[in-house]
Amino acid sequence: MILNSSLQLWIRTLILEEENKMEVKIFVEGYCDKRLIEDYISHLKLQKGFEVIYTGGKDKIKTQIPTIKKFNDQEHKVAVIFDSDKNFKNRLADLEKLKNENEIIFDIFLFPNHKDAGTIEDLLLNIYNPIYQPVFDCLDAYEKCLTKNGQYKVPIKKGKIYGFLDAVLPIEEEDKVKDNKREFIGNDYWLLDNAYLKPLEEFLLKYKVEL
Amino acid sequence: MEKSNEKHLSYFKAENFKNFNKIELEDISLFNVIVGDNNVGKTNLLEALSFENNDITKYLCDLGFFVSNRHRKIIHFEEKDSFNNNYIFNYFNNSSDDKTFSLSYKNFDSDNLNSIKIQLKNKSELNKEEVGSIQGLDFIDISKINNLLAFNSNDKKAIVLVDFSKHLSYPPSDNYMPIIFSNQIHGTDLIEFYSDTVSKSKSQKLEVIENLNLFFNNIDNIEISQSFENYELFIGFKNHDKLMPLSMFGDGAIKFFRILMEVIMNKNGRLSIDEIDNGIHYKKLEGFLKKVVSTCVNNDTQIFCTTHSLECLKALKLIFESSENKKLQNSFRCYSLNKTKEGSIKAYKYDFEQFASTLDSDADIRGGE
Repeated sequence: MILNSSLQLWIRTLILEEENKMEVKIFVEGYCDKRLIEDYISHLKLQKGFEVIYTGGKDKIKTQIPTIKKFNDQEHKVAVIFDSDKNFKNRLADLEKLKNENEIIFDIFLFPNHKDAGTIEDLLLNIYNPIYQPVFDCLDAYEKCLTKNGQYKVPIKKGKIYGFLDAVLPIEEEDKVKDNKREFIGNDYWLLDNAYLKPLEEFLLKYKVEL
Repeated sequence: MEKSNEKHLSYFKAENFKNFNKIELEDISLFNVIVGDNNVGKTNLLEALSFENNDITKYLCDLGFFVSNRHRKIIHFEEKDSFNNNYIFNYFNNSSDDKTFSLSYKNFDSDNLNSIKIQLKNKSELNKEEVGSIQGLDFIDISKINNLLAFNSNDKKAIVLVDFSKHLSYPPSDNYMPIIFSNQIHGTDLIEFYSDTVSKSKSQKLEVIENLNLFFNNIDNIEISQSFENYELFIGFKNHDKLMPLSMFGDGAIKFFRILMEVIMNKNGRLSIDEIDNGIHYKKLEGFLKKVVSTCVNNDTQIFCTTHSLECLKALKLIFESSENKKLQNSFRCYSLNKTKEGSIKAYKYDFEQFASTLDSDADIRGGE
């Protein structure tokens, strides 16, 4: 009987070990996206089994088809978190088409909130800490000035994120203004418990159950 | 790149071969790189790919040599042992009771699927026709043999008794195999390769000398000359009267020499190279690969090579991205061998754009756990 239960425990351990080999592979467009998702996964305490893969842009996802096929065959969970850009439905349809044409499987979440058109910058502009509102007021004024001039590209969403971090980061940390070095936890610039992140939280939490 | 060479493969499948239940390479091109974790079967795949389209008996002998090579010594296949404790058992997938392996392929010039089926048969299983086909072979005592190899190549059927006595020299100079193993560097076979190919063409000799300059600074001549009682290859240098034997140079330099020779020898054919970058200094890697690629293109030699090195893959990316080689990007493929959840091995094909983009991203094309 003791042997039997030991055997059962051993088999259960083996099964758990096998299950733990399953991983979640998340493809993102850029380095900033990678840093945000990595930090947000950490914030949600989901670190184990996640790998965030930078692709280099929305057009590069098709070059990852063999890698996604490999992950599918290995029964890892695959997710693509990209920008909606100008049209949420169109971007979603493009990615669904890519899945169907190539017989690959992945879940999709589109920034900013899997509902609206936009980008990761729209999400970030919704979750900065309001104590830094004066910085954004200045940046808004700068944007208005450019709009009034009429010769320049507006809005300047990427510029606002860069300008904000450039203004608030201490000199010894100014390197963290760069996309691949940004930090979304361990500081008070970003509020990762903001309700705007709820759709992303729900999207990622489903893997916690599966892992 | 469109090819019309009958030895070049455009598709390949091996079934029940060594660790593979089934492995397929689709859309093969001229320069093919195979990557993957240790023990995933990269060298096994090269062995499978080294079959001779028109000489299956020779291929079965080659498989015996592959076993010898892995043991780093010559295995003397005694007649009885060779068929009873048969080396060929190594080549059937252990997980299968079916002692048959098969190779299927398509060539560039045709859409026909060719197949070779190798079957280990017990003598008691042979039909009358098959028994008849082995009568009269007096080099072997058939009464001592229990197992035989049968092969079936497209419509051709045959029972094969492999005469191993012909294939015991190392390397088997009378039985050239289009594969370079990672431990294969210097050898007397290089003299033969050189005299059979490069020494007969002045322009080719000049081209090889120019390429060799990467490792042999100021080289201006290659000659076969006598050293003690044997013939050897010698290298000559500008402003030096004395010739230097090739064997005294480093492994990387000699390996480069071997690869150039064998690529040229396999003009319009195909060649497998295991761990192509092994022994090459990282600062020389790009130059080395650039010259290997250009020699392959100039000789229309189809290459299958393996590597573990990210530096090697990055160097290949730079070479095929360079303005002079951009037009050759369609001649490049990378196959990543990976284990599926069920434990079988599968090859994932990356064309050049996918390969380059994956190297630029965080995804690891080389697999591994």
